[in-house]
Amino acid sequence: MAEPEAHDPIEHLAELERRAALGSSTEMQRSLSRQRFLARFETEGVAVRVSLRRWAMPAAAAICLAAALLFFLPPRALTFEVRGAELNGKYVSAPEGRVAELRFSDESTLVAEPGSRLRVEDTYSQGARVLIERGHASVHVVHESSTAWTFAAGPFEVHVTGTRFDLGWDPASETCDLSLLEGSVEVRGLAGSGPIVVRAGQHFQGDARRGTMQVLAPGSSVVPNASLSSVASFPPIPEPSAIAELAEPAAPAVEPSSGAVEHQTRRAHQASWSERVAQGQFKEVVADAEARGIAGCLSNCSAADLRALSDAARYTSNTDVAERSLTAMRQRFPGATGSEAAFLLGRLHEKRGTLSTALGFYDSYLSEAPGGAFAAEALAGKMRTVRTLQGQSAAQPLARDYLRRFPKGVHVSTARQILSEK
Amino acid sequence: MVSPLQRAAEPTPPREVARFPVDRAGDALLVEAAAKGDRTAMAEVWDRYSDFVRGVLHGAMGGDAAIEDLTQEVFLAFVKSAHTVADGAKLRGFLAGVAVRLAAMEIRRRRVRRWLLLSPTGELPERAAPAHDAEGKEILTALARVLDGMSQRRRMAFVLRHAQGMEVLEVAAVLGISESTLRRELQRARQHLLRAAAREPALAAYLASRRGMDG
Repeated sequence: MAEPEAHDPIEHLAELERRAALGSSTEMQRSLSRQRFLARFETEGVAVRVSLRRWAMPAAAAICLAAALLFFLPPRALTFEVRGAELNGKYVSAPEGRVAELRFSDESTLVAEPGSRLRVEDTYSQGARVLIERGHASVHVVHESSTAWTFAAGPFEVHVTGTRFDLGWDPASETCDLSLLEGSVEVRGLAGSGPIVVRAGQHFQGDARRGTMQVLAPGSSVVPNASLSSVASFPPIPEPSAIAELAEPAAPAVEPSSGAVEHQTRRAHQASWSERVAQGQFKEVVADAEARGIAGCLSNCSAADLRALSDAARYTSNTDVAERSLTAMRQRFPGATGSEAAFLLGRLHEKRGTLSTALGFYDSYLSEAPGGAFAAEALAGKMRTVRTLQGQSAAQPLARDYLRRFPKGVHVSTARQILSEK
Repeated sequence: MVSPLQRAAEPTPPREVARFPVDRAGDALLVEAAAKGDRTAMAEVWDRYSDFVRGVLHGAMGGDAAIEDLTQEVFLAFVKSAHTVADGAKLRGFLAGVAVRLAAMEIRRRRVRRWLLLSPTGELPERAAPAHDAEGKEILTALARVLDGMSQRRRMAFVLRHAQGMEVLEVAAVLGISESTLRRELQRARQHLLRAAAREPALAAYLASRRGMDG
């Protein structure tokens, strides 16, 4: 920053502007925005360096025409019509014995089973946010380069760019069921845990009451369990294919045939930890790491593998391995990865009851990544631990800060409760 | 195609798990890898600079629902022209330049809409969520009024230099002005901000409280 003087009001105004900018979007908006950008990057790719001189004039004319049109036509949010039920404000209730169908202007469709109730919370130019309050819905989202839909079922959020799936939420048992027919989706659970990638043919079950998430692979009877309470902050899955390529070791100096086999085996192993965690194979990943040697992994594994191992360990309540993995991440990968590890260590210590240590890690994260993906969760964690350690009044400034920065955050009610108590 | 990040992983002993962590790669290496279509590098560019780009856009336009869309556009512009970024170490300046230009275009577009009476305010119908904290909201609204009272160039000089912490030469390059002109703009921005903030009770009280905390 610009060498702030201790009492320089300009620097105070600059700080205020920075805080206003940080608070202008929610964590969810930022996360969706990143998802949209990477999806568009994958479909549109980087520009290729070719000579377009011959087409420059017509292309420029076309661009000018398109720009002129865009100039006057703001992007329009999707519209939708309801068949088989009444639209009551944002609510649609399928009557008993009849389905209700929602048809969106991008040709995406949602069929709600009889007796289901849902709410179309918001529509955007690239998608919508739909809340399943009760019952089941069959959804078909048409894929476009920038599609970004969100379906919420209780505390579970399904992020979609284009796919077909069935989603249900039972408020009585607080369970979520998701069956993927085509494509893949990302599911996040309570307090931003996840994402867990669910692919075509797989079935996801989330139980908010028991705090478990399960992914059933096609043709498999193994249903791994994940304790939500122990992984309330599952970090973003790194891009497995790209990480795997980066992780490619130098060619082994062995004769080609056996070397090739070993090379392929190692590559498959290295590429798979993040993917296997995303598929819910937590116990298998921990077992794999133990077979390979935990200590060796802590000092040699990539950031992606360490992250995958720490996630898998937390999912299986193996807090010792989780803590060691996160500590290694923090020591070996300063920067964004290390900061994320600080946040996750904060969660781990908060759950363990070592609140002073938890507070220290939350503080570290907030100072290292004030606008990071887990800023809301870290601030909420700090708010909770300060309330317990130092009392309500000490937590109130943090609660105010939370409400200002994350007015739609999941801990809004806790913050308001802290503020309302004398 | 071998990306520079992969190349960086090569000179390691055989059979060792050797990696060049992307989050520790410098901007030049990231730009080179991104220009070759490396998704990890592009994701790292986003993680490293999306908050910065939002900050620049917010500084130019204030709280606005279009900021997320414009952030996308800034990074898509980088996707399209990553290979033309001659000096990867100047990535931040490149992104700031695109953000400033896109924000200026958006502001002009709204003026035209307003002129054509397509919309009474010229603004898009959606607005960013306001802060719930009434006191904080009042201070931020006052700051927005103060910033609105400056020319776009002066405002951006303040935002880029002070709020985003860019170097003087970087800011001058982004705004396309000389260093001496930038210094004059910064001086005038300072004078305006101090005068205007003193006329805004909420902002004046905020600055007084900060003075108290500093002192």
